[in-house]
Amino acid sequence: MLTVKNLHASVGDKEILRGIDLEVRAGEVHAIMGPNGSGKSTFASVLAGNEKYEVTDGEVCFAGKNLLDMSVEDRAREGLFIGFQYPVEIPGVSMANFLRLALNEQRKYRGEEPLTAGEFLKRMREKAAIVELKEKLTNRAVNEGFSGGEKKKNEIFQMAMLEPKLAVLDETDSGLDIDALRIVATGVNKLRRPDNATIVITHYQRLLEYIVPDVVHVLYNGRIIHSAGKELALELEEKGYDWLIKDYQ
Amino acid sequence: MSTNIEKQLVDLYLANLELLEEGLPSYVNRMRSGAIEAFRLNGLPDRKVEKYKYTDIRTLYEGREYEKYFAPLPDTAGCRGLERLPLDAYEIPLLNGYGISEKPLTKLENGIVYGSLRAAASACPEIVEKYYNRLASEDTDSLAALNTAFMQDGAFVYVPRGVRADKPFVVACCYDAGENIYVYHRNLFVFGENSEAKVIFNSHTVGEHSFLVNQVTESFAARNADAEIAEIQRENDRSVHLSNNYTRQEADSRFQATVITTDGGTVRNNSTVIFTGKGGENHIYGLYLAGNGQHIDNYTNLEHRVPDCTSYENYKGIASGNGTAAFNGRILVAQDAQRTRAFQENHNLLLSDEATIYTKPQLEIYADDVKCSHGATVGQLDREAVFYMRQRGLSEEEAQKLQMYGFVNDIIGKVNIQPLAELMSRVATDKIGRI
Repeated sequence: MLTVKNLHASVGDKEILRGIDLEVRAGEVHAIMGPNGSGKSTFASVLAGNEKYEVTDGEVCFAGKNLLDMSVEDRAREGLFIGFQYPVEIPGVSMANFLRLALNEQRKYRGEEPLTAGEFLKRMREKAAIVELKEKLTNRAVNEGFSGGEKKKNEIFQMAMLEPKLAVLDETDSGLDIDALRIVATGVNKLRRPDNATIVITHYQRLLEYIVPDVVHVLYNGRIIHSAGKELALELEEKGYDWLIKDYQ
Repeated sequence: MSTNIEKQLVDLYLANLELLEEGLPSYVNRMRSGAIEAFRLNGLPDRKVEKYKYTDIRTLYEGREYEKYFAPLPDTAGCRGLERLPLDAYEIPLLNGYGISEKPLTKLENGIVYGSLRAAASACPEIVEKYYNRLASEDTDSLAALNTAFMQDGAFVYVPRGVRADKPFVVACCYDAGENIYVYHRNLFVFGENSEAKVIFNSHTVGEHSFLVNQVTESFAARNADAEIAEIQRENDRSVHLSNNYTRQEADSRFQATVITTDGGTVRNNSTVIFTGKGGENHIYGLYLAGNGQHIDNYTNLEHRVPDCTSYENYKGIASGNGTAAFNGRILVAQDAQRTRAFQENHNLLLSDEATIYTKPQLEIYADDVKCSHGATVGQLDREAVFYMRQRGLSEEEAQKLQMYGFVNDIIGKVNIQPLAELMSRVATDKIGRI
């Protein structure tokens, strides 16, 4: 589904990603961990197409297409979803209006008919239930006045609505209390299917108690320096990163 | 300070005085000479007049050849392009400021009277004489004086004490002529004690001729009245719309005015609200979308002359291309007006390097026990929000439009006439698509 080869990216003349290689197959959940400043969020931003970052080398193939050639919106329409670490507030734009436009744009891209108002509302209700998002929030402006937990739940709600092929969740667990964490994780698990995949970027092992990954990667200094099974997360929690990164300092 | 353009206008007035006065009672015509004299004295304002520093009225008049246009249209068959709003209402159709309804004045069983001001001046002198020109004459504004001098017709609504109008009144203002014309359009609204009513203005032009519209509206809200006026302004970009709205609020009255301006070459709206009784509440809202070649200027003047009144003001706008938008919000709190609460906001989006936004809060507070606030911002589209929306599949253009719509949406949300709010929303969305 996603093949990343030797990906390099910079901000200005500062290189942040220094050759990432990653292979994610349909049905898999990957976790990317690593200390602060290792390039985790930059990786998500580069996949999304954020123009702040310049890709200087490497390639990214997503669902058989060259991702790096595509506009931000076409990447989304191809089925890439980014759950943002800091979801943006959009005053005056209701969740329902925003998601209806987004969903129908994606459907148009895929040659599908737009959803009727009735179909859309039904889908909203069903998907809001998955993340226990209060229905009144879907009538409010996008993220405006939402608590930190509500914003993160709202990201998963949008993911549920848009049904992406690949979701990249960037620090979705940070700032969540234990109940919100459980709800978010349960939401992600319910949305797992054999034909989609998830990359969870996280600081903490505790999210991975709920979302069990197939592979755990450690990102350090712009490279993936170690990959292993789910038990790696526990080991990192116990021992920290020092034993892994000492060879790379 | 009579110069060429003033002289031309005074001459035009003198040459047509007989025509102007025809069919109107003497108490209306008596006001003309004082008004034209005040106009001759003050002249047309240019940018040296503080209140008009963002809009030069003089240049709007200079260099324009307008045919005179005074005689009321004998033809009541209606106007070819008059737009009817999709809502159940008491209609007051006006063509170039003249009432064109087959029935110039309607009196309902509950005492409501509505229709043409011209007809009302003769049929209901006991109401019209009491209120006509009471507020406009207090002002030194030359445009209001010109309007009083040239006035022939406009809309009239009277809602008696204790009556609630079951439907809104729609003043359909259509501008349509075979040549470029001046329009003097005068409205009078009287809302009696404990009455409740809503009035809608829908101004639009037909064809490509240029209209210089001078509109004066006087509204009187008696004790505990609850009135709302909502206005849509979308004339063609060769036209000029100059309006003066005067509102007097007695004790415990509630009055709301919302104006949305999408089209029109030059638009200047002056709104003065005067509280004369304790406990009055005023809501004044505006939305302006100035595209290429447009100039939209809103001037508001809230006069808290007595204690314990509250005003809420919020104007929002977008300027793009080489468009200009201006907002000047004066709030006067007189020395006696203790416990005044006055809140003003003005927020703007500037979309291009050539567009201009002026914003000027002007609070004059002479009382010492008040709660007043104001906030003015000029900003740009939020790039992060645009990126966020694109990541969900919206194109850059759609994301920008949605953000603009979100920005202005709360003003439309203030309108308490549901089908009209929906129409305003469509009008704004359409304009944002073109901006």
